Amino acid sequence: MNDVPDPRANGSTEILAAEDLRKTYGDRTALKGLTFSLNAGRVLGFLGPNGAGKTTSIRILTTILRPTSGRFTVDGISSDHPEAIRRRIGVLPEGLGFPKQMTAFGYLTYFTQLYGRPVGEARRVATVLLEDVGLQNRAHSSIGSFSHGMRQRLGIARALVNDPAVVFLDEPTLGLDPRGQRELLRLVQRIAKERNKGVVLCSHLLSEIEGVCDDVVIMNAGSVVARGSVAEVVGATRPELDHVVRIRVPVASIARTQELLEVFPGVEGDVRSEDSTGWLDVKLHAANGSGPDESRVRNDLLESLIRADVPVLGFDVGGGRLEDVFLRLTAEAIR
Amino acid sequence: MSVAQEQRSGRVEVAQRQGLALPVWWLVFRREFIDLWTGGRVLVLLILFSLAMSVTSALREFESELSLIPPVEMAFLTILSGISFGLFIGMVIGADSISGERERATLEPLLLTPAKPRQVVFGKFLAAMSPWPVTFLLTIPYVVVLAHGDNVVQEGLLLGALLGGLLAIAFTGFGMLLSIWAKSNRASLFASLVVYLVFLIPTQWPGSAQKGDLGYLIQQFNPLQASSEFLEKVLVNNRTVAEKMPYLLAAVLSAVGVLAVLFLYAAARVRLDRDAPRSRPARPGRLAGVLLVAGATVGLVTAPAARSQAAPAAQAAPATPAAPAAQAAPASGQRLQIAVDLRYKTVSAGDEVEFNTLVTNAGPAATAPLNVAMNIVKTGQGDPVDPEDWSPERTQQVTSLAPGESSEQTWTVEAILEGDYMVYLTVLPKPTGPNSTTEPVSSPGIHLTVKAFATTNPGGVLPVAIATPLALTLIAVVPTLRRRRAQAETPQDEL
Amino acid sequence: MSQGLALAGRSEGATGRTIPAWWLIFKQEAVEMWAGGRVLRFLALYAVLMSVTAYLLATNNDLKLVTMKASVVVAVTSTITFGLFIGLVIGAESISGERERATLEPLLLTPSGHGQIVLGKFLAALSPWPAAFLLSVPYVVTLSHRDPVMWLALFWGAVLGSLLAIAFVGFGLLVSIWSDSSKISLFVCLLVYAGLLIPAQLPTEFLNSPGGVAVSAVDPLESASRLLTMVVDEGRPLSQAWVYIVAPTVMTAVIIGTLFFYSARRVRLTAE
Repeated sequence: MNDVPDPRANGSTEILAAEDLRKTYGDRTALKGLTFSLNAGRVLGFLGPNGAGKTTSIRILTTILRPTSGRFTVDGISSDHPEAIRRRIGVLPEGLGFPKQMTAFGYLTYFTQLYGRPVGEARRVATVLLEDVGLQNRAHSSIGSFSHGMRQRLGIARALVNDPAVVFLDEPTLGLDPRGQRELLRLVQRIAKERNKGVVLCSHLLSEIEGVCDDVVIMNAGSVVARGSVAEVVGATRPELDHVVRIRVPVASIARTQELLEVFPGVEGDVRSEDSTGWLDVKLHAANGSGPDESRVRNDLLESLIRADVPVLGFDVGGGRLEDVFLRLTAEAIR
Repeated sequence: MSVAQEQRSGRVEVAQRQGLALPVWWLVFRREFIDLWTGGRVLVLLILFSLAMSVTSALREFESELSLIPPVEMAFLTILSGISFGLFIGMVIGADSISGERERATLEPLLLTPAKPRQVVFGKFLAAMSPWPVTFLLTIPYVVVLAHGDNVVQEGLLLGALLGGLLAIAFTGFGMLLSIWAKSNRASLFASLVVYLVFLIPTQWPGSAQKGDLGYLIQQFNPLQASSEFLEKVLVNNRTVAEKMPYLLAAVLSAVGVLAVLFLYAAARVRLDRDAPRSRPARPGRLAGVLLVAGATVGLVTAPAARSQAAPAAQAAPATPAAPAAQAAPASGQRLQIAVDLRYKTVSAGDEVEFNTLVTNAGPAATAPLNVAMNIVKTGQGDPVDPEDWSPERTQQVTSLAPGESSEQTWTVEAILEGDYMVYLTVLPKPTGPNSTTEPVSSPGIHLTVKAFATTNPGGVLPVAIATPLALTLIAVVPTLRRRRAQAETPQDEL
Repeated sequence: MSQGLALAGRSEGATGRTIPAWWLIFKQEAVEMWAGGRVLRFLALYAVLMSVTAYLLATNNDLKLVTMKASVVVAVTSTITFGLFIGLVIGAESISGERERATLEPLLLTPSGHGQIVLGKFLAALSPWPAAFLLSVPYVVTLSHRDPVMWLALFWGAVLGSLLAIAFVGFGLLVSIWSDSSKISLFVCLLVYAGLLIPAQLPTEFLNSPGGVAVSAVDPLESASRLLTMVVDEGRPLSQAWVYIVAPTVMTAVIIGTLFFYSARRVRLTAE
């Protein structure tokens, strides 16, 4: 470990970098060239439908699987040194099992010791990590009595026992209720921001990921279909979704609402509607510096609908959303 | 396709509209059967079995060429191997059938259908039994080859199929019982392996260790060993099926008993969650099982003593005086004569009986070399007893006797089993060649009455034999009780 | 959050001894097995089997069906046969079972070499053997009527049993490493174990023939039984029976070598 250069010593913040990683099983290619980088203190979202190659990517980056070709570095350590890499990463795998008879405290102590800490220090680390993830009151209960959410939190604590440079979380919110999801994602953000770690987050929950991730890699069928910061990906992929608002009204009110909107100043073109759900897509004129800004137009539009006694059931600044980008990109790839 | 999906499939819906709903057990069986066989696991196991059979058959064939094992015995061993393997597969699959689905989280959809759990269990039971016929069919070519055309093949295969089928039912059903009651798949598999071992191990004891009252009792109690004995006696030792019917009883009773418990009690009580804390300290089924095992163990241990008659008196009383020492009248009117110096004797099991025979050449010419062979017959049903078990010498050889010459032999018989016996010796002159024969001459019989071996503490081993497992069982219970107490005290979190 | 991570971050300059990973894993597995009751349940069953065997042997000894020395040999052979079975099934489930329970991945993700993981599990799976052997001592002492032959029997039982226990536990682990399912690994191990018991079923005439002697010399369980019979029961010197120690020794060496120098490094999340 001591002879591996620390890239952050010369000011670089790149904590994880992958170059053309590929993985084939016989004649099936699970990963077709993954290239990306992640800086410390940022959260990278790995998104993709089932079978996209997310878990394969995570397993390669965490040294569980060997790539067929390509290389990667973690905290400056090349993939040729898997044991050294494992000292610098923490992982919460998907569907992780726990030994039911162990206590949470015993579990964390055990794994801390496996990372080379003396037993006294391991116990202290376990105590404080349990407090950090909110399990201090159940430290000496057997894991078998924990709920799913508690086990996920314990799994995250275990991923942190060695103060890793990069933390990999594979579907951490799976099976959690909305509150549990929110709390866990908040925890993820704190991991990245407070300790300047890189976090790689695999998930299907696009709306939540959008609020947490700084960067995103969207995968489909083993290939990367989009990569970059969230704003870059959304903007580059669906420029036409800029300046679009979505309004939901009762189905019976669609026609009247369309009439009102199409003559509203600031609305461009026809208003498209989904007759079955009552959603209407309203494209606004792009701000050109001389007219009112877009947020003002949106507010006026909403106010006019209310004044016209149109029951507004939903209002969304649509288009610039990761979910839309994801659905479009993966649907295109499937086609 | 899951059972629930199949029930939604158009074909089933049509059938239901027509009032011909497919029974649940059939749906479950079909799905499990396809999973088992197309998944490849059973095929892998059968390939391994074939390899093992090929190796052992080649070994046995090699032995046959040395003329050391008769073909009929090799056929018996091969059939037994097939049975042992086949029922083991069934037991392992059965042991995984419910607990495995629980752990793979596929049991819940099944239990949530309107189907009765008993039907689900039945379907799985049939699927778990499906490898048995294939295993047995795979055994047939090996048996045919090793039997070298002996007529025993047909009878052996028929009896093997019958016995093996009964045992497969018993062991597969037992595996499923464990699977229903076990907390985890691992526990279910372990328990089934241990049970299999418990039944298999006595067959490994050397032959002499299997004799005696307790040995015979274990043979009849243990379905695997009883069936092995049954097959051996009928196929190799030419006993009749009717004669050895009691040995069949263990296999029949075990199959019937297991099926009864499985389908009349356990199947209706299949639970999704085995981890839920218990409010009662012991379930009736488990308690009943413990009592059953304890009772069987006690029965095994004390049966020899229970069967003894007036035990202290029998042990203390001296053996009935032997017949007068004068030679019993020899068989007369023959060139060769053999006399014994004992007419009758009553002894206890384990006692030694010594007697002498006198072979005399009363003819005018020298005899051929002679063999004197011991025969023992149980007087009740006329069952022959293998003298090898009773005496270190089954035969003694006498060189040619000149006219008027005599030769004396000393014999020792160890009375190992309670009963009423006739012992007699036969003198066999050796024939001169393949186209000649001789006339054997028999001695008068010695009537031997053997009283039961009547001690409950042979060699002082009983305290150790009881105390050691009891202590360990008590110690083993402690972690279980501790865990249950911890489970009861710790709040179970809602998901 | 930051306090815990700060503590976790201390590596250089930390006080206290670092414990090797194999020891941690061995201790954890052993505590789980013993305190959880699994091994104790196995040993309780083992004790029941030994009790039945000992009672049977004592009865036959009183019936003069079998000599005292022969009954001692059977008792020691039974100890070995039953005792190593426990280690075999525990070893067979050790890796494949963890795969099934999804608890293997965190272990593989630690910086510990995979060899250390396998070593820790190996030692844990081996731990029931000494207990099983010690449990056999009262039976042997009783059956031998405290005759000095019991020391010879216990000595050779310990030597041969330990060799075979190491071999069988190692074999169980080997199968477990290469199996995705504990059901399959348990089955394969039991098949091999049952296969090695087959020679004991063969007729005595064959076992005494040259072919039978060859089979006994190659089959480690049968070898052990033969050696015990010759040295303890028949009182022959070791120089006449040494050939029967070769098979157990060679089998142990091959299995342990394969396990630690080849397979342990190749433990993967899924059996490839």
